[in-house]
Amino acid sequence: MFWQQILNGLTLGSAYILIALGLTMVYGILNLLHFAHGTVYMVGAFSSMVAIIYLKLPFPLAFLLAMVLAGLVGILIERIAYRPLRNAHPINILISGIGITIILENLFRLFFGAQTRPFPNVNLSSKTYGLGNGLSITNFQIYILVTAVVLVGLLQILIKRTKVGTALVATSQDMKAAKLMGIDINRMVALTFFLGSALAAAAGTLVALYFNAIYPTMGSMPGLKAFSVVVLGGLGSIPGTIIGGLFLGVIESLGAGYVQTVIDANAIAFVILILVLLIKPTGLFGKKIEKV
Amino acid sequence: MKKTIGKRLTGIGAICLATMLVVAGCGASSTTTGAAAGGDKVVKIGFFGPLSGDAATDGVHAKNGAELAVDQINAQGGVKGVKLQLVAEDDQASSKDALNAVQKLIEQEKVSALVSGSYSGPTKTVNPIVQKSKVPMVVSYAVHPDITKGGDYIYRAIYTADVQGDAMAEYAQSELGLKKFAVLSQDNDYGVSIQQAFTAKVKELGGSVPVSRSFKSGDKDFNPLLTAIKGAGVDAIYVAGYYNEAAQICQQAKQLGVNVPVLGSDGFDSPKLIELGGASTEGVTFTTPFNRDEPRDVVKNFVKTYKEKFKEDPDMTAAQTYDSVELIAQAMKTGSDTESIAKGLSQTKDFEGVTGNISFNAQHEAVKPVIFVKVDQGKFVFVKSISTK
Amino acid sequence: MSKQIAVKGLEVSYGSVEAVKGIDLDVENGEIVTLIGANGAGKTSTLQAILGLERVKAGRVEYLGETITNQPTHRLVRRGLALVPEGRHVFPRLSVNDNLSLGAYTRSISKAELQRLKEKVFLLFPRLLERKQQMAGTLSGGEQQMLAIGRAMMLSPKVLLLDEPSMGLAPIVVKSIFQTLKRINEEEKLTILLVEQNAKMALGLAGRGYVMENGKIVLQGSTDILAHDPGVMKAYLGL
Ligand SMILES: Nc1ncnc2c1ncn2[C@@H]1O[C@H](COP(=O)(O)OP(=O)(O)OP(=O)(O)O)[C@@H](O)[C@H]1O
Ligand SMILES: [Mg+2]
Repeated sequence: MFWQQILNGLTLGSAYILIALGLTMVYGILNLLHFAHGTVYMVGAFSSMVAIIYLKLPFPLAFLLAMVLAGLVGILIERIAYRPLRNAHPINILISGIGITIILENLFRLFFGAQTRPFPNVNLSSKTYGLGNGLSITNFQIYILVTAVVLVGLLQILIKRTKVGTALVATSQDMKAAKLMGIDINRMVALTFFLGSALAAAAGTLVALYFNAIYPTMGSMPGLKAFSVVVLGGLGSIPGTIIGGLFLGVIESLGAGYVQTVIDANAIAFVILILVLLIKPTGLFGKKIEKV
Repeated sequence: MKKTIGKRLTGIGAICLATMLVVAGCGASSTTTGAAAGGDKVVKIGFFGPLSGDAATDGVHAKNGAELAVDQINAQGGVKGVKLQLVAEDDQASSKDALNAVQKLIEQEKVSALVSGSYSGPTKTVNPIVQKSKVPMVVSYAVHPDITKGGDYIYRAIYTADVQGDAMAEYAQSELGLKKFAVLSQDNDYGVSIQQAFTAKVKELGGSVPVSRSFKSGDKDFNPLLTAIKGAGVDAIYVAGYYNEAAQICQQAKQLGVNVPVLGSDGFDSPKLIELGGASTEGVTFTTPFNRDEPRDVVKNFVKTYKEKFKEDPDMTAAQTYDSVELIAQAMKTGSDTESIAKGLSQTKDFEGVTGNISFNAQHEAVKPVIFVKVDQGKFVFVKSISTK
Repeated sequence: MSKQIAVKGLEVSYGSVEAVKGIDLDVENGEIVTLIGANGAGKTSTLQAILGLERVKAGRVEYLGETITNQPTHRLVRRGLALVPEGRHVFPRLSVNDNLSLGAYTRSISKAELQRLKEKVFLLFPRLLERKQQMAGTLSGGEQQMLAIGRAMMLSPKVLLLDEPSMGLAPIVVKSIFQTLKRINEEEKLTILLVEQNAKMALGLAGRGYVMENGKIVLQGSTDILAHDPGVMKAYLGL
């Protein structure tokens, strides 16, 4: 059963990575903790649902549309909640993010109700494939794993191989110098929020499909876990986030499978968070950390 | 520079304000249904339950059931000319909020009776102030044994955790021939008390429980627990919990290839179970007080009118809460003050509710049948009914 | 000769601190002008205000005859205004090559043209060619300064503003960098506004100069005259 737990953990970790990348990218460019990121994950799942039910789109299109919509919501959040506070104390920015979270969750609760809804029927029934030795994987797990690999790969290509990607990296390394290169900082920030939010929406949709559950507060726990992942990996480091996500997913699975009586699975993330902050505040791959 | 700081503060202020408005907008304002203050004499009945938050489905359905009962009683001219008015408060399934809600209902609204449409934890918490204020309360569907203790004002319209835990353990072993169980329980008063009863009875009858794990309300990923269960080779999984998590468990068990029967408690009894769990819930058997297919007139009438009013099928919490209000109404026949209602409740005998014939025993617990329901082709189907002491 | 840059009555403040208190300054086509002054005189603030990096509180900035007061930096850069900032500000975790590419970020040019521009920079600063793939953060201070200037040259700017390029560098490195600046000015007819504390070097390079003290211009004129001004000699040349 050990390898099954590892496989479960890798699936979970892939979802964490997709959520956490947005947090890490935003931190990298603006040095701010984007507290409302978890809600964007929720917005993504609801957008897919709306696209499937009301716009009658096939799943892949709904999925892409949800990524775009959530991306725009991310841009909007930055405009409304963060840009007016760009030079303010980090605590103010954090509070602003919390405010946005509360507003969005309540807005969705008003429109869609607080109850858990099933993911709309998209003619994707779950299939389980045996891998021998009692090990099995479902098609949903495969979707999550493959999507994570593809999206992370595309993100890497964008960042490493394109001009705009270099500009993004430049902005995160030195904003003033980036301005002097003629880079429009606000566009880079918007792009960062767009990309991060789109990735979170992808995770939200896939996890909603996997667990067949959509509800307005669905983003809060994943949002907090993503925060642990980012701290674990080192704030602002993309490779660190990837390793951190996989690590947390696997540890949680093993923990819940073997030592549940000692520690609750959800608590593991926060124990790790505290340990990292105590022992190595810069995380596995982190550069210097800002005082908050 | 001053200007930008000013702007910033306005920004923060605006956000805080908007947040407060939104929160207040959906937050804990009470809603009132039924008779308005007019010529008739009106008695207020206080309701509390999770009308928002994770458990909102249960709370809202419970409130629907209570509303339907109040409307029907008032339409028939009330109880001896006295009309009912329902005052509902949201407790978000939190003990703290329930305490506030009940305090408000008793002190400000001056209700003559209370209905708990909430879970075991919150209901247990409000016990002392309810007993102390001497306001009679009927508990709709919370099953923790302690809820009715400590006084003469709290009655329960559902049987306790041990009744259904015992019943399922007996049924599973003697009728289904299952011996080795994995138990998954929600880590709250409800789940723990049922799990304890079930486990004790299984062992008493010679079976075993090699794996027993708990989960939290709102948990979604059960793969690690089910993987551990898969390794243990059990005959069945018993889940003492609610439909949200139960649906996940059924689904993920199927996906992991854990192909043993899933048995459950009355928290399974919601159309949401099938909606969320889909085909994986096929064959799931659970205990409940409510048989929606029963051919009795009260049941047929309830199912029909509920569906007309709320555009969906009633579930267990709706039926239980409907009965709770009806129990209060029939106790009012001798008088509508708190003492008369409490006395009336204590004398309840063979009251025909939608959840069976209800009597209260000396411990203020409902005595009524335990019903076994099974999911068959995407529908809840009656299996059998056993009477309890 | 036309004015490339004209600053009129410029004021810059940080909260209640008035850093620049109404100065006039111009730079004409093809000349090298220097702005010298002690620590905290307001030199950097002036350059930043011209480039839109700090808000202009009062006054006007003109570039090529057009008012550009408080325009966003990236637009001004697009129009050929380059600043080599104080402290160099190279991108530390990008290679020398990537740093140079970013200098031409706003220009739509072919790969070949980009390559040609880089080669021109390597001709000016051969050291950079040797370190082409090295992370900029690992370069020495002098090399970083060369990179910062080279990066600005990638824009083929109309006016080059430099903020204390000599800061923290050995005299011999400063000398070589200043020679390169001279060469750029002569060969490319590039207009340069040079902010310096190293008055001796700056006055030697520039044709005209301004002396700034406490947010005000206290002296201006040809560098020959300034270099012989008793006040300047005492305060800035250590004579
Ligand atoms: N961001 C800032 N916030 C507050 N005050 C500032 C800021 N930047 C500069 N100042 C103040 O403005 C004044 C002018 O500073 P500026 O950096 O323009 O001087 P400078 O002439 O470039 O000095 P140096 O030669 O040391 O670089 C100084 O008193 C400085 O303390
Ligand atoms: Mg300076």
